[in-house]
Amino acid sequence: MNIQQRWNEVLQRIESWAHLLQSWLSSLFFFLQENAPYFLLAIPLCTAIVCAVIGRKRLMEQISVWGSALTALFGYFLLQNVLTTPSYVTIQARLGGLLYADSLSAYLVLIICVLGLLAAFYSVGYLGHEYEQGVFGGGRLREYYFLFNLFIFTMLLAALANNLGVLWVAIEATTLASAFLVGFYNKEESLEAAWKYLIIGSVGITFALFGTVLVYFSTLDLAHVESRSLNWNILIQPGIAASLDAHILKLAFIFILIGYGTKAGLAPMHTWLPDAHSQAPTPISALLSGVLINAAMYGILRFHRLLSVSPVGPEFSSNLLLMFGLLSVAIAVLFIVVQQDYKRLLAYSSIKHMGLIATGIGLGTPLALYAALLHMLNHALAKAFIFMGAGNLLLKFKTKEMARVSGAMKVIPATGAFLLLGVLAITGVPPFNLFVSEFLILTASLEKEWWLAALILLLLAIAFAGFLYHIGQMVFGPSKEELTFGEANSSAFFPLIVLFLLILMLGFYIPSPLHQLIEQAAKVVKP
Amino acid sequence: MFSISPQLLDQAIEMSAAFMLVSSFLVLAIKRLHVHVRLYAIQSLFLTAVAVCVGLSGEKHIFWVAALTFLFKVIIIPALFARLIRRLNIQQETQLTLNVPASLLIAAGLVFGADYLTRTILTTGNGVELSRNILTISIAVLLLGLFTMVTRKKALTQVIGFLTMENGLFLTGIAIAKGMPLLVELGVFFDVLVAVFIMGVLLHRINETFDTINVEKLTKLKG
Repeated sequence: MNIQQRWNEVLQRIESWAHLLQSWLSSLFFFLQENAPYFLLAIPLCTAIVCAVIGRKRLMEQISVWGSALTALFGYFLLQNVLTTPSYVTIQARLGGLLYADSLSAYLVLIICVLGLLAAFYSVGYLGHEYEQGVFGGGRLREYYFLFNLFIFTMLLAALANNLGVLWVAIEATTLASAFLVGFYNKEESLEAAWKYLIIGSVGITFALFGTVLVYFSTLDLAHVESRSLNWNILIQPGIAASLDAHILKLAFIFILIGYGTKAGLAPMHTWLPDAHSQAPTPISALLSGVLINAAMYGILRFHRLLSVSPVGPEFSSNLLLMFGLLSVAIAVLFIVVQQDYKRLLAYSSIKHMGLIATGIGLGTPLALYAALLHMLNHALAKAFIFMGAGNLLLKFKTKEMARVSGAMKVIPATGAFLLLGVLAITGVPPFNLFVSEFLILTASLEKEWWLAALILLLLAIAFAGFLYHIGQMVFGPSKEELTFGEANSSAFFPLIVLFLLILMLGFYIPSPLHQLIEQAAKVVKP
Repeated sequence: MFSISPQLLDQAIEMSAAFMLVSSFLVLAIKRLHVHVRLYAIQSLFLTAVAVCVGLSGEKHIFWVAALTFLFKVIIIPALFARLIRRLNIQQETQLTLNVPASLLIAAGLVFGADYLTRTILTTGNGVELSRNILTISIAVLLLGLFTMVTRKKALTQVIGFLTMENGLFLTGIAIAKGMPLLVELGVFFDVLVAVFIMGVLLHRINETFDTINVEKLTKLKG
């Protein structure tokens, strides 16, 4: 009897403890989820600083990877927040309105987190291999991990910025954080690339700032002083947007498009891109091509939305985007055909895909917007995949010239196979993911004008032929005798396989949360 | 505190802005590098004057911007550049891709272009004459900075061109788009400073690797 009573008491106590623990955990979880944007910014920043302080190779690698993983976790929390809230403008502005998150930001955060994590993984093997070969010293490794994480931080800040000035600061900061990464090898070519990148990027971004200032100028006529603001969520409110000055906004958008378009790699402001993307260390190339240009495009999208709800209407910015988009595709395809350097080839392919995305946004139908946004993710995954494959090739063959690489299939069969699959994916062959989004963009353009669809199809076909011709020779063909069989960087297989599975999966079906997210993000661009 | 009539302040703002434009022209007309740096400092001084005038006309927080402009753009950045020129032992004359008279003609054309642009924009609404003039000068300085970058071959002159563009932009930011959030202005300042710092470091590395800072030598990457 007594024992029974005791027993019950103990049980009750345990139960109450469990209850307490559960409530603590759930409130902690709630706290973390609620404040995901802060953590998203704080973690990469802390990781960068810790890496800079520590400077020991193994420890930096660990911290960088775990930091990226943690960032990705909070990215997931943010995604959940955005998806569970019914209306599409979801999370209220934070920090006095400087930060803000909606579906579009969450979508960019998703891209940054996934690719950031995989690039962090890949960096360990790639940089480690070069370090062992004595390409650079230990101090440079510390610089790399510091700037790598800082770069991720600046991109996340761009995604979460509400104030258009903060958006500008963040996008300019991406250039500053990545300039030394582009010039990382300190050789003539890489320094030239870094200089061009810094100068052209800074000039472009100055134009963007001028555009931003003009947007602010256009609010000065407003009657309510409190509505004079650079905060995006205030500016797009129908009552305020409708009373902005149309002429000034048009001029502002031209400056913005030139400015952020420079960073997004839209032709004819793209000239820095092939240099920077080909000279940077491979994981950085993947981030520049996969993520950074999307972040710049995201900046344009915010202003595009602002113009569509203002007296200017959606036509003006849509037409400009369509024009620049088509021009980019055309110019990129020309350079793809005559290219001799395989990393530059991939860089031009990025310009082509950015052109396609701009075209899709310019078309402006719900289908086209959905396709363009989906294309952002698809391109990011496929481009990172093929850049990482090409990086393994570079480690083995030690040249970027296509003419001097042949028989990859015989020397490094796994990388050769990945490269071939990557080429098929990046040129939009079914069953890979880019086929789906390219097909949707084509369908949307067919609804608008038949010749538009024909033009895009023709350009895509030429790019496909060019790519296959170049890569076919590198992958097949006789192998060089002096190279021994064996991979230079086998640890890269983990991110490569993950990316491949994602590319393949998105080619067959789009998970419903992702579908929902993209649909909501499309509504942010055009309500 | 003594008070100054608003008209006088407006005139002072316009005057300083006009001098900013003049110093942009002088950069195009003069080939000597250290003069470029001084001209940049002088231009920044006029920008400071604009900021002080705007501050006096009631926007108190612009005084902060004025102080920062003076500290960084009039003193620190020019001093850094003067030091860089000494340390890198750069020969003084910049080579031009376009001779001085031709560049001045084109520059004049750019100013007219800017004027035409603002005339078409500011016909309705914000039709205040001051705003239009400032916007014109702002765009003109921006374009002249870009033009300097394109036609001068020294990497250092490119940086000066970039900074001139930034000055043109700040003119609009301070004089007519009054009251940009201070945090944003600080962020912009910080970014520009870091950009200049990084450019300086890269210049060093370029100088070490190429033995020159002529942009003409940076031609390995093509296609």
